[in-house]
Amino acid sequence: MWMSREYEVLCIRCPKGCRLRITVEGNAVHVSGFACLEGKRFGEEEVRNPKRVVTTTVRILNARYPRLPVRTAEPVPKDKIRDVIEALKGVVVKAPVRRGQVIVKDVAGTGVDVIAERDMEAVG
Amino acid sequence: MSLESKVRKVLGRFPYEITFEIRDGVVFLDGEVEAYEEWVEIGLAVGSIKGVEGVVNRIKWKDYPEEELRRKEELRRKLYEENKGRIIGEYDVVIIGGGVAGTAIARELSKYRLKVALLEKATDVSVGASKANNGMIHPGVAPKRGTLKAKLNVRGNAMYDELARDLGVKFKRVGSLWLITPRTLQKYRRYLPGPFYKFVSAYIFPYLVKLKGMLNGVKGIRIIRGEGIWKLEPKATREAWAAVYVPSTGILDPYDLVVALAENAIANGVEIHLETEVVGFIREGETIKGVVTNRGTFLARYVVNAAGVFADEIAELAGSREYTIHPRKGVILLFDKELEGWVNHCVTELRFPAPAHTKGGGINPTVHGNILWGPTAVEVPDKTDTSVHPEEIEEILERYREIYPDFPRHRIIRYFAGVRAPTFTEDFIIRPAKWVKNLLHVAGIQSPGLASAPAIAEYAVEQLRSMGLILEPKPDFNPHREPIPRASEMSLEELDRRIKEDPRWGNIVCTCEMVSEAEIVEAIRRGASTLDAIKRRTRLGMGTCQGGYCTLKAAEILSRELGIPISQVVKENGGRLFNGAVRGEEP
Amino acid sequence: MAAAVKLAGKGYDVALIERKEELGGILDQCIHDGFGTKIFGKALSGPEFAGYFIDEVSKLGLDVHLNTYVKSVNAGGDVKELVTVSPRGVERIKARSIVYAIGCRERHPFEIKVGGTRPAGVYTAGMVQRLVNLYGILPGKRILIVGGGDVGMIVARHLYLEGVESITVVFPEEFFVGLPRNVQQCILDFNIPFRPRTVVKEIVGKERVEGAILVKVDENWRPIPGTEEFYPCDTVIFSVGLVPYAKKLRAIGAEIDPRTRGPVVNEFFETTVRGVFAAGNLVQIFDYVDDAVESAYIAADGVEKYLAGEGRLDNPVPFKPGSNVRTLTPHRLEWKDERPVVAFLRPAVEGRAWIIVRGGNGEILKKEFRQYVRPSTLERIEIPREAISGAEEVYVDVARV
Repeated sequence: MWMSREYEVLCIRCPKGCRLRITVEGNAVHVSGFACLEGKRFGEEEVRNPKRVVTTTVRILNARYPRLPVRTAEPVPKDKIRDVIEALKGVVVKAPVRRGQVIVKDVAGTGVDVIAERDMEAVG
Repeated sequence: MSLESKVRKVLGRFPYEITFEIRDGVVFLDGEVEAYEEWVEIGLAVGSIKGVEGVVNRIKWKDYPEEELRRKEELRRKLYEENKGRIIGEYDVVIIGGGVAGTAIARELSKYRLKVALLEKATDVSVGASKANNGMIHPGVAPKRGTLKAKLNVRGNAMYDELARDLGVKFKRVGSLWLITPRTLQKYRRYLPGPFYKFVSAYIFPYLVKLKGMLNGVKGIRIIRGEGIWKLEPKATREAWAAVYVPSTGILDPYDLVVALAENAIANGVEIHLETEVVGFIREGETIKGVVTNRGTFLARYVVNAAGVFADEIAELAGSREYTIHPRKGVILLFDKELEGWVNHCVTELRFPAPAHTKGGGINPTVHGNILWGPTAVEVPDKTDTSVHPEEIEEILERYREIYPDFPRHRIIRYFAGVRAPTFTEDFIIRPAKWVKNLLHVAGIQSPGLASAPAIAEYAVEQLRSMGLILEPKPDFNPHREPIPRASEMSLEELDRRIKEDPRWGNIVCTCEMVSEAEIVEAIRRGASTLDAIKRRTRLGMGTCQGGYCTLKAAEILSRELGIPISQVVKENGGRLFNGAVRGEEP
Repeated sequence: MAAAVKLAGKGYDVALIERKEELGGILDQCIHDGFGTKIFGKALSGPEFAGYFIDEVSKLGLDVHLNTYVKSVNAGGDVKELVTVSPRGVERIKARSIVYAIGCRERHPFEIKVGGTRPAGVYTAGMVQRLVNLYGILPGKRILIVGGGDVGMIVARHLYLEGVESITVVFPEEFFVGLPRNVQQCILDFNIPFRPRTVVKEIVGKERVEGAILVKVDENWRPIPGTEEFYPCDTVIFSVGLVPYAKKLRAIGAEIDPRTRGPVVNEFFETTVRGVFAAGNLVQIFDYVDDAVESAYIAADGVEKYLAGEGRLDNPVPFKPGSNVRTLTPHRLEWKDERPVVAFLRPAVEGRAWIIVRGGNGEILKKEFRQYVRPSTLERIEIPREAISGAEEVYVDVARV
């Protein structure tokens, strides 16, 4: 549904999923169909610099499970998702870990930190 | 008429050039036909001739898997060469096949001073038809009079109370209720006008069935009419005109029986070798000296061929091919345990003649409260074809819906298929091989194989005795086997006591069936090394969610107890559950 | 946890019984974001969302029983008796009321009559989500996902990022039925191939999946003969719906609604067994965890009324779904109360619509406009008590514009 200078995008900011219609004319971007400012901002960014939160896991030692769920603290540019995943490959953390703890600072040069999503106690 | 002319006459009915030779009562067929169904039809036609002791059907059909068989043969030859010199041990008897027949024979032989080995090619016993049937211990009414099936069925059925008690296997004599409805004699309606149809159906036919049973030696058969039917089965169709009640029918979990037989055999000295596939034999003249497998060679004085669907291949390798197995698949539907009480007996609607795709079948309870519908009966060329087609599910639902019109048919939790191993003579073949001195055939064990099992074992051992095997009873034979205790079935006091000694009894892994970690660990200790083996021994994953909650935890426990990474845990045979680590990062 | 925290806050003595090793339910494996936008105003991950409640439980010092399985419950009468089994032993617990929040299970392929064989490599999406996110193990390399719902899409993204070779998603509808944000973030972002109007007829493979036979379906989901196609893969993941895990409630005698497949409840989520309440996905499948939590808060309010011996209506008011409504809760009003009734309904139609609440004589008691409704999205409507006072029956329906 991506036509030359008119885009229809589903807003992902919240579960409402408003259908945004975005028109790009030169440097001007016009968004309609949003129900909140977050959505308007999302629409504007989505066509110029789409961003996503990346959620994944890293290896953790001495914990109940072998993986620690982590995510980027803020959305990162969509085309950096693969780089973020690559950068986390091989990262190993040791329990205990606290929710919100920074696991990797400024991942893949995005300026965004990767943080732990949960507490994980040390076992055994 | 000589046997030869009888065979020629039968073959003359078919529009093909079929040649044959007869050797010691065994008919060998050669030629080519179009369809697989015709291959079966010709085999059955020749097999039903009186005096034929076996049909070896070498006829090829259009899609005959030439290439696949050639590849299999190449692989087999390679394994044979690699292993024919590696002697594992010397045995009095080697049994090939870990299904109900093989394990029953193993347990029977373990009563005597003999060194016995049972070889099974899968990762567990009871992996063939023995796990995929409806667990019915038939009374013995159905088999044709005078057949070995009829004799061993009735004898075997009677042995189950003691056997189940000794082995700690749940067994219930629920009895059969065979309903006679307006559909029973449908095929003969035109010969029985008006009220004669109902009269014959309700007042003559049941007694013919009873007579058949009595002639086979089945006791206690009663004819019931009217309200008596619904006192026994309140939810059965009101269309029933009469019912034949056979009290000796029983039910059990077939894989539970086979595992129990195997464990008791092992406790009494039998060696069971899993993942051990027979690839050939070492012979001296007409005597087998050794059984060659993918793990080495077992020297043997006697060999028992109880290899189920593969019995004909084993017979061929041993040098005494006297029959061909024509695999016949049966599909069964399983309903949720919450429906317990809907059906109290093994119920079916009698149809005469029996419709093509059922060979009987019906609606049965299980000892745990589930309900089973089926099985069907379809000839399939692939011995390992356990696929279920959606059409087959619908067929079963349609066929049996008339027996229980209000049954909640949407509460299916599983369906599966087993492949029976009938020969073309359609009877059990339990006899010494004709062209090899020390081989005992235990082939063609289709229904009522499970019901006959204890008698098959007895009979087989007698045959071995007649072949020269000395049977010296073991004074310390222990017939008792303790089942794995179940947290869900013991008293709360006992459960609490066990937990205080071993907290794993209190860690409930399978929520639907209440299976504790201790039971899983015990199953592994008793030889289960795969997820399905644990399932068969503990009921883990057999409930409403079909493994949704418990599979991962069970895999974790297997990984821990067997000391293998979780990505190597196997469901059954070679099927690994998982595949590697995320992003290649092994834990 | 939400119900426990609210009730403890009201001064009640609360025991929290959990069969798993830790609190949080299914959220520990839902590592994606999007949770809590209504409650916290942020799009948190599942573990983070659960983490807030776990902290509250801990702060309040609640009596928590982990690894504890409830074997049986005697729920009749004023004192309910539970028998629990845990590594600590068999315990008997007496309670004046019970809140069940035991969630839902995944529909398995046998429930949708998928044929073929039953080899290793066939899973439900939740199983795979846990496998990948907690254990770091992949189910396979060439993945077929069946079902256009949320869990399937989210798992597709997990698998894509964690390094499988290929993924395809198939479903019988015309388009994905999950949340649009998941379609964008999980499927479209990564160009994961998908095939609408396609289902799996049979699974192929002896010991491990070798492929699946796909078949096209029409608008009524009936397979179109002749369109069968063999699709090679080594893993088939079913995401074909969630079902309330109601068997435990059935066992204590609670009536079950065949539509929701969860318990029949009144406006405070009390089941037909007095003093036994239900909350969360056990009642019906919620799309947003925020709504599931709300149901728990409402149930907690109900517990308070019950324990205080407050008054019930002489005649309960049935709450019935109209012809355009697939599922509806509550099933009746039973309590004397001033607070609005919070109803949840799943529409059977799609598009711009009005949610209409009518009385027994067809009179309209309340109307609410919705920009876009669809069967895959649970709608929430608050109905003021004044609007329905006096009605002997209430119908909730959806009318397309």
